[in-house]
Amino acid sequence: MRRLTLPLSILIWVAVWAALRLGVQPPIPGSVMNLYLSILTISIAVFLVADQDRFDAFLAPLVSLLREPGLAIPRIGVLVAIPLLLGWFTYSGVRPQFDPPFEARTIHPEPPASFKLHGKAFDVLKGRRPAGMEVNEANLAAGKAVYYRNCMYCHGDDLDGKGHFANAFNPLPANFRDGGTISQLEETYVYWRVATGGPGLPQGATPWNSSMPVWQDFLSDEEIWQVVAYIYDASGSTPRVSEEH
Amino acid sequence: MASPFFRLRSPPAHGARPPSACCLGLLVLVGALLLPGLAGAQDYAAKGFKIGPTSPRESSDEERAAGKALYQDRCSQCHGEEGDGRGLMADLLDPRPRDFTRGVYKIRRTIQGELPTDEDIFQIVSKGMPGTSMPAWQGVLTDEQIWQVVSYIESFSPDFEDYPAEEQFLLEGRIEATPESLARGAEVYEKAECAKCHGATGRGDGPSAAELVDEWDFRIFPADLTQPWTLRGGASVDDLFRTLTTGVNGTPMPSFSDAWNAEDLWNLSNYVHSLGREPVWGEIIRGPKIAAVPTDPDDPAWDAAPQVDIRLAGQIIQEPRLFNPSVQSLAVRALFDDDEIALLLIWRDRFENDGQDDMPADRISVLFPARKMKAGKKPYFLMGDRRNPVDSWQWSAESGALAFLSHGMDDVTPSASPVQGKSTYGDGQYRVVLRRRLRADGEDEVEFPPGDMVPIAWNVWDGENAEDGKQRAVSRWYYLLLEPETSWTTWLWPVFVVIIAGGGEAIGLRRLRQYWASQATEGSTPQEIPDSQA
Repeated sequence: MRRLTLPLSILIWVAVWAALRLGVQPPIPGSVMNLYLSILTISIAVFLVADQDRFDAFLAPLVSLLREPGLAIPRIGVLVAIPLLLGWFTYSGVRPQFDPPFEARTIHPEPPASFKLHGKAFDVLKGRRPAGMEVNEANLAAGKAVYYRNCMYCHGDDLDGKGHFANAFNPLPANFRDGGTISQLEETYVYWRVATGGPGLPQGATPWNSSMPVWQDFLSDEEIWQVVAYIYDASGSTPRVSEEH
Repeated sequence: MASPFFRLRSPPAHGARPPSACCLGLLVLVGALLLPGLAGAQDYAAKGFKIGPTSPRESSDEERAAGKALYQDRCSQCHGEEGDGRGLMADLLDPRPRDFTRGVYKIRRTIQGELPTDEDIFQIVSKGMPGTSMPAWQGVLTDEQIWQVVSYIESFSPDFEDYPAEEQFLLEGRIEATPESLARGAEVYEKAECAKCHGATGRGDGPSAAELVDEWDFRIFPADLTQPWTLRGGASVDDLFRTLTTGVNGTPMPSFSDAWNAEDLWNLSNYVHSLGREPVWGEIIRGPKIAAVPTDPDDPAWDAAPQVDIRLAGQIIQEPRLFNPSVQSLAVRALFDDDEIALLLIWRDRFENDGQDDMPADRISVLFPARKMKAGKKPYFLMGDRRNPVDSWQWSAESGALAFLSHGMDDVTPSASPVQGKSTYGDGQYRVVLRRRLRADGEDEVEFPPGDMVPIAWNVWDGENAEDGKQRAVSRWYYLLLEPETSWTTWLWPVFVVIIAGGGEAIGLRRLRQYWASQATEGSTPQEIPDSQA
């Protein structure tokens, strides 16, 4: 057992590292991981130096590697490998790296107070579904037809954002089944997004990338209300409703 | 050798019904009595094919009713409420949604012309059809729900009751893809006249490719075997063997199990598999520096540049829209020297249209922001916007290299940007080199300082598909990076660290040895360093 002091120390260190790295979900943040590993290293070191015999046994293989005439080849190997390894680490730290510029993107940007739709101003905050556009069977059926003739190529026929053109675009088309998309938003907000599309986004939302068309160029006000009703209904979500104070 | 099963553009040779199970059942019966040439199960077995009975599932009324509800909810949008393939947007899809009432199914393990097995339909619903708008339903629906849908789909055609497939190919006995197998497969590819439709290199550009139609008289194109990610029935060797063995019902793709034996078709499957490659979808096109950029698309110097595949989508954002672009991806490489940048653009186009054949000319555009913009900002991806123009380099099969300045798709003017181009066309593939000076000569021209991430996008038009104007395939913005040479100062730190570490080792070892020597002469006790005395 004493002869295995060095390999066992290394084994324990690696085993704890692997358990922390692979065994904990969600992953431990890097700085916390470094803290844990420092404590682990110090604990093992304290355990080793607490007893002279144990420390000698720990050092013995290292001493023999450096001293034994028969171990010349492994000795030279280790002595050459350590500086080269350090040099390589340094190189990977200082070599020039090229990363695309970070694009801060606001997913649900602040809407304007009102916007123009077919020449008429619509109030995003106080606007309401107009009369005749109630969520009923006829409007949902009409919205379904609008969706499948216009939206499904990107947003997918399961409304999951996986249409057959989806992968060609970035940002990826919204997944309406995801709780983070339309169910976070009021209906009038979605109405604004559909009507003005990518070009209607404010600067922080990277409007130059969005491939969402300006749907008021294709669809009537009624068709937009119908398709908004359909995507909520078909994806099993409900619009957020602001509370009256 | 193989009989030409495919039909050229002409009215259907048979009556209103396709040669579905009903006709074929009769044919097989008559054939078995009169025509010894028509293959039966024992003939297939003699040729090394493994044949087994099908195991039809019993389905209950409840199962079909549950399937109907799921079908109306999830499938009817494309396949139609009556299963006739006339859903809400059937006219905008290519290939069109399947018409279930006719019992003609493409991907099957049964003999050509017969109905598929229940399991065949289950597999297609689960995995979807690559290269089409049929998604994979696995993960969305449970296996139980998919079986319910399958039982309902089958109820659209009475043939499933009257003429169910009784035998199926078992797809066993795959051969390893040795060089001998591939050579033999290449021979079969030639003798079975695969190249007639699929082309000599498999890009689907053979001499008959222009004239093919399906059972419904819609134009159809041979599969591009070099893009396995678009093969409808999957691209594994087993999938290819199944398609070759059973054919694709309703299309000109015949079954080859009548004329060839199983070993031949396994070799052919291995060969066809070897024609394909894995796509490398990337975000950044990295261009290394070389002594002088190549001007020719076939110059071996291009091997120094990594290739990136780019997905394209139809331009469905402004009218007139294009729902079915024929070019769905392109491959790009970049190189530069002290003076110039060169881009190599490679894309599949089955037919060359140079503007002289009443069709628009084939074209490609490369787009860059015309002015340097703040990091992370770009012009609108469809050829720029009012404030942010785009420098676009175009190559057209009619007029060669051109340059334009655009403020959106509606505002495009020719520019003086001195772009040069050279192209080759062959085996269903364009290869185009576009070159320009790294530095801008005039205002509103893109510059390429090495080390900068320059936004880059592409538009492609296929004349054969009548693509012109806004009807084009488009990409989003990607990045082009010309990689600067590593400066010698980068190496200073690593070399410094190696010298310090090596020196430290040498000094430490020397001190240790002195210590050991002194201990040995002083006759110290051996237990302090026990192993070293051994």
